[in-house]
Amino acid sequence: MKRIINTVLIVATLSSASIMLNSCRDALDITQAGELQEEEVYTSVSNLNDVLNGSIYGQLDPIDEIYFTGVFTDELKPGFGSGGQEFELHRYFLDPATQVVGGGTVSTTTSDGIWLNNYRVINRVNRLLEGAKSITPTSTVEQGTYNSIIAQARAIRAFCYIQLESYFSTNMKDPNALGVIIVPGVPATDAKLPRAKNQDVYDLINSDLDYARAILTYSNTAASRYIVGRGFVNALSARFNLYRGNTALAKQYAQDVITNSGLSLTVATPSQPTGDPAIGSATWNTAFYATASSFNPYRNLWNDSARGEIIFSLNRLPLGAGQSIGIRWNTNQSSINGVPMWVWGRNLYNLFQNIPGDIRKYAYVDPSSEPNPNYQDPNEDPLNDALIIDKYPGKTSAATRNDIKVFRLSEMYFILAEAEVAAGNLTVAHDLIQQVRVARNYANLATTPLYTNAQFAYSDILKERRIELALEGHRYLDLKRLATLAGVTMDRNEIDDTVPVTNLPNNSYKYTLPIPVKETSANPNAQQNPGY
Amino acid sequence: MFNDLQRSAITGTYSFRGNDGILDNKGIEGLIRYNAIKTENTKLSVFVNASYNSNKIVSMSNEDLSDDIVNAIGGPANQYQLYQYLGVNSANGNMLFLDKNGNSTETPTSADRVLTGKSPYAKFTGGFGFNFQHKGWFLDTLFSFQQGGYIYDNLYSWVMNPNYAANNINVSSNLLNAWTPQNTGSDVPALRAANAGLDGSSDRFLYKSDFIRLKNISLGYSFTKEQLGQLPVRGIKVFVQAENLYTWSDWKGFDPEPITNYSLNVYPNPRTVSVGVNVDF
Repeated sequence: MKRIINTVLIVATLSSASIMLNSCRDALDITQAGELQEEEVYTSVSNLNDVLNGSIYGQLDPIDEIYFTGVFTDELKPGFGSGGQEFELHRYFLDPATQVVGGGTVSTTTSDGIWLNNYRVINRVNRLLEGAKSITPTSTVEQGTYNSIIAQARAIRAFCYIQLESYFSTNMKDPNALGVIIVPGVPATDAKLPRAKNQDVYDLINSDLDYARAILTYSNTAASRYIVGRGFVNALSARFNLYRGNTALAKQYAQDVITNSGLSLTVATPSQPTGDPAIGSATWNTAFYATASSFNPYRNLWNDSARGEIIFSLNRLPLGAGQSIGIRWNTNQSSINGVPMWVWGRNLYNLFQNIPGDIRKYAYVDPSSEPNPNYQDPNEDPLNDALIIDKYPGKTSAATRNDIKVFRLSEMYFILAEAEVAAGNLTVAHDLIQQVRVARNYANLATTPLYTNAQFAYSDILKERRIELALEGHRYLDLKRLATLAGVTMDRNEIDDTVPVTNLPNNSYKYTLPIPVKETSANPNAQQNPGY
Repeated sequence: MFNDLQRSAITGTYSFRGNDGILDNKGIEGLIRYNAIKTENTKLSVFVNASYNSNKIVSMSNEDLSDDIVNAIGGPANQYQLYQYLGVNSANGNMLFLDKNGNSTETPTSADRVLTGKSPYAKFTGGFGFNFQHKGWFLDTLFSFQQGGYIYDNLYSWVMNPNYAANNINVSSNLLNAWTPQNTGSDVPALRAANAGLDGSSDRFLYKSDFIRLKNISLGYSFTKEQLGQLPVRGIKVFVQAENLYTWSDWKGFDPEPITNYSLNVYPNPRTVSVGVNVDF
């Protein structure tokens, strides 16, 4: 009897031991709830489309480029509501640890910074392309969707490489100058790759753009502005070729967009709603600055109620992907009571204020602004000059969110004009700039001085770009590209800061961003840019 | 160690969590208790305990020195990597820092940061106190202390931010002493110093978290059986007790005791006083 009991005990012990060993194995090979593996995602074209929307469009967010450009150049000056965020950047303290470049706390939020955001999107595109290899479309319709997804993803990858090249390459016009890191497929987690030369990056960009161009088509429906189409591809090609100094191709693609996109420059009229209240009166303001939509087509471009001349923008729903751009200048809302962190730089404000009949003096500025009439008096406080930014006025249920406008038709006119100047066609360039000015003028008072030489033409194009593309992430790159050619410099007003104001000299090494210290620390093969 | 493994941005992230490196903690602990008086009516015992800990990273394959707080080989965990704050330039009210070559500068960069050897972990911690009893009375105390740790006081840096004053946010009255052309000897930078904000990577607001604290004190009286007489209870104890009654420290903020790199998001130890009666049936 005792023996039987012993046997029972031994068997019981052994079996419980095996249970314990089994449970150990469970602990080693944990399958987490909600875990999603590659082989489960890349099974259908519909899933592939979800990856495109969620992981690529959802991650693409060039907001740090826009913010950096505004703060670092002559677009912004400190607002009276600022706690001092990025004052040091406004004073050109730029080094590899600068957080808007390398990620960290930017303004009042946490952000990836210019470098990581673009590389993350590139990484996601490469993963999509890799995963797509295991999917075989089952019908012609599905094949079309599949091709379109690949084309959109590759066009976005080209966009990210061009963003990186524009900010981090020492000289985009030199094919042998130092470019950025090329991400080969899905990189190993311990990848430590050096920077490639520009030409190698350009070859990759061009192959992406050519592929996308062959598949995608133009569309001018309102909703298609949120989808990468041929308009995006050709606008990007135009910008890219302008930056790298290939003005012939820049001209060809800019012309293609203008001719074939089905879009036209958004006009400044009607300038009054029904009843014709005086422009700038309280009744007019209520109608013009209405949150949902305005009577004015140009204003509707900015409050996101209409597509207007937008070629491509990133959709920013009240709740959804992407950061809020409005909080970068107006903490709570675009009004004098919204705690303004940054306001319009004085000289830029003066530029668009003083053009007779120009709609932008209203569209860009909130009516609650309190400009200081004695701002030039050295005894006046520079912060007491509240030029409230309203280019990003918010939308219904989201006072600080607006679509990020990536490509607009007016930029194509500017690119075309610049290419014409390079080709010696000053009159053609003049007429292109005048067309944009006519579109922005509600009183039919637009004028453009005669272009007598290339330098003057460049300076006038740069001036119009400064106004029209303000706070869209252009000014820093434009000054790097054009300031010397145009014979101008950065142009801050003396009251654009609370300390003595300087302008960054042309050709300063700070017109190329430093490679973030987080990259060079993890990847010592990434060569730092000169000066840093 | 389980820490951040840094990665090139092309992987889509700067870091992920993983195992890397060896952290060595070496130290000693001691406790001494001395019963000074032990008679029938009176008892007094005095005690002191202390520990010393040396915290050092021995090896890592993934040393990341990109931030202001780093894990560097040979140093303590969560070490501050900052440049030194020298004070105010009496000529213009700007802040002065020490660059990596040992010269003073108004324009330091992240490359001027040095390993300070300072971390939030105190080297010495401990406590002391006594237990005293006389007839029914008792008085117990416990003091605690720590020495050798540092906290970056970002709460203090914010009340020293002159930009907040303009926004109707409360700031420190120390700002009233800011540098002006008339007040050139001040140790507070000009309210509109041109290099404002660069002190964020300096040790200007890095302070010692040393303290001695009266952690607990209680005074009371226990009634004896004889005193209770015919009452249907076995014992009654009446006492008053206080926790965190007083702290001796140079720390300006709420509480130097929590171990943290930054003083933000620290909930201070509450000061409590309680009065009680224990009745045993």
